[in-house]
Amino acid sequence: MTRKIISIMLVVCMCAGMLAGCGNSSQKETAGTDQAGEESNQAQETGTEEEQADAQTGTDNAAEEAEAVSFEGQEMSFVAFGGGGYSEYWEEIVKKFEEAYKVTVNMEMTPQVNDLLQTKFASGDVPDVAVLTYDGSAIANAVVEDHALMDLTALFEKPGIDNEAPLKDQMLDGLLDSTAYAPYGDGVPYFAPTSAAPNGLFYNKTLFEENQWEVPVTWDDFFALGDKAKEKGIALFTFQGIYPSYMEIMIPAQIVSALGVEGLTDIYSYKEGSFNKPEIVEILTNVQKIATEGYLLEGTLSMNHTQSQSEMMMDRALFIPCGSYIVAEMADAPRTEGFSFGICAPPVLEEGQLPYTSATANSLAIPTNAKNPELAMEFIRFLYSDESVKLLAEKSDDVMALKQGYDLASEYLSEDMKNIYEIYDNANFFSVSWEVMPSGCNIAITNYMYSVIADVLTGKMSVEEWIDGVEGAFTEINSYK
Amino acid sequence: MGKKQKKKKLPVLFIGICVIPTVVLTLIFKIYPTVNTLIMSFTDANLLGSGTFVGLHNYTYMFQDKYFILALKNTVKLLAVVSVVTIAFSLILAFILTQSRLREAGIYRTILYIPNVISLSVVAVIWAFVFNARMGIVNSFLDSVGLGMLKRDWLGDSNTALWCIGVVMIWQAVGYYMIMHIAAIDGISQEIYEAAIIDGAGKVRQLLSITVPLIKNIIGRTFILAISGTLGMSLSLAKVMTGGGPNGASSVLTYYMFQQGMMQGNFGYAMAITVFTLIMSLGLSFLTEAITEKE
Repeated sequence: MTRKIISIMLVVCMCAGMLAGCGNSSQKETAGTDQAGEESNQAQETGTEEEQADAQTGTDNAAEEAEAVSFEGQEMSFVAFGGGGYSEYWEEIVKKFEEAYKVTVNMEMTPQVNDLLQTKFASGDVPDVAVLTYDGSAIANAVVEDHALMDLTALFEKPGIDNEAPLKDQMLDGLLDSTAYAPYGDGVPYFAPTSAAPNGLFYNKTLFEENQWEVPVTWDDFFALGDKAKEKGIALFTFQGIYPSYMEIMIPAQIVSALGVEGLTDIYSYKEGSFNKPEIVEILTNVQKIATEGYLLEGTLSMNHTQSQSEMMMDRALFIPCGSYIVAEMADAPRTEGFSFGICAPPVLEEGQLPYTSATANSLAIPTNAKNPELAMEFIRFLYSDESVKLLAEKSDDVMALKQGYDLASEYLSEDMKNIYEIYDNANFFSVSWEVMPSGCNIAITNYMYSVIADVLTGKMSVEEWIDGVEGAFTEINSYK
Repeated sequence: MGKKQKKKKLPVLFIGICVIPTVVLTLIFKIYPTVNTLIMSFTDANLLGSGTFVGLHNYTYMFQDKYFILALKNTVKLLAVVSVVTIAFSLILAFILTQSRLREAGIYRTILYIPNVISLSVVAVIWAFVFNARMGIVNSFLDSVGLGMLKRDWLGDSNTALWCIGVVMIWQAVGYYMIMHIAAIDGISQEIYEAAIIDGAGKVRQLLSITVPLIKNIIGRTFILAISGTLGMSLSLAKVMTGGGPNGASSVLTYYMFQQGMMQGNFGYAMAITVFTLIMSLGLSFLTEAITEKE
């Protein structure tokens, strides 16, 4: 009997303990909220007092203080890309953000960030902010098609952390309102650019210096250099043959040089007739000439990215189209003695045309259903701070897509990266992405635009057939609009 | 008597407990996704699964899509050639290893089976180097035997890319089916072969008149497995070795399904291609079974 009573008492105590635990927790939360509310009120009151002394400064300080107070203790989730030197950058910058704002960031970092985001978006368990780039990937296309991302106009209207100018004015020109970041073509940004590292034709700078070769500007220069290289047993050009979409670095830049950004935007919006222009015929004929006149490295069409990039680094081909990530990607690859990365814009049709180059866009996005979008925006704002820009350069050898980005980063960048950024001394930058496909349209436009290159280079397809194929695809796409 | 009957009664509860997890897992991971695939194939769903009902549009569109038709033709070519050659080679090798009484038969069996246990991605990478135009051993070999004029960019040439994948498939799978055929041939009484030898039958006659007819049911089964194996392998090999290129010349149904679904995000269309491929492989399997049963 006594044992039974003791058992019952123990059970009662346990239950009471559990309930007490619940009670304490809710009390704490309430207390916390009240405290935050009081602090917020205090902050507002302080702001009002200061306003009397100095209206402008007082308001700014109060706003900042209110923001700081309102974020304290909050949580947000973040899906980051872990790879290259980016893991270290994200870990450190998140830590700094947590310390500065007294918040908690639940970060998930993976090299397969798109796979993780697919499951998160499909299940509805979206992060507050994620590394997500509108680069033609299936997940980026899907979130744009489903309008699953938040309009970031408010973020870019805010001043920077170290610079009072609105963030939109601090970004690289022509970036924010381009279709790579404003995917609906209306100039409204849904993706926040982080880095925009240049793409172009990569070559061995040392080889050029040794032979006193000039970097070609026009197609004529390009082929003339090809003849000189042929004498030394070096092919003029190679590319990542089994991934022909790497030619997207080569062709659109020339279209922009010949027809302007509008010309390329029309093509990337599937406007009928936009691809059937004399300038484009001339560009594509030159591309075909690379193979038909013997300037293409033998075996190119069956090479993957690392094989073809190695061929350039071993001086078997002069140029290869690639992004600045080649430096990290090929860090352990064999190379000729004294090799150093050089980069130039794809050739232009005529002298006097401005050379253009695209960039590998990297960006962040906030899902529409994010639980804490305000903190997510503040996090992105924090990434544009001087401290973050320097850290990105130091840890990832990359430059934030800000006007001041290169100046802030240069002292931390590797020599190769500095060489790569020199491209902007001679070439202009553009950023255009394909418009999202209309619903129900199953066309894979890259097949018509780039996969055919293999047949064009081997002479199985003419340039006219190439153009007709693309125009036919545009007609079909427009029938779904 | 009554007690005996009671003893014979099946332990239904026990069997149920043992079977239920498998049934539940099959329902969740096999049946549900298959039904979902079928449903999605009638929509224009994207990667996130949202989409509207489009009826038979995806199925009718397939036959206007030149890249689908190309992938279908390539798949049929591979199924017709690779499956048949794989089974034929595996049968011949099994016959040689069982009938020739080679001392080193065990070593050959192991060597021929090894490709089957290597990861398909690794196999694809190795063979991509074998066929490489600049440093591959195929071109080096042709050079060394004075056949340099036959050298080519094997994987970059639309006439040869698909067949290079076919060669790899045969190399990879032949050992697996060989083991199955060896097991089947071991079941044939040795006396039949001895009688045939007395009657003056050569090795080829023995293979065609004794081995093949007596294990034709097993050959039918292995052929069905070879069909599904060819379809299964085609995605990894095409993706790693050629990326489906040049210009779709080595694209197969599974690769095109992957391209449409995972790269383009056209999930509805990709599911329709999946359903089509499933129906095609089931049809071929039933046809094979009907032919072997009939005979």
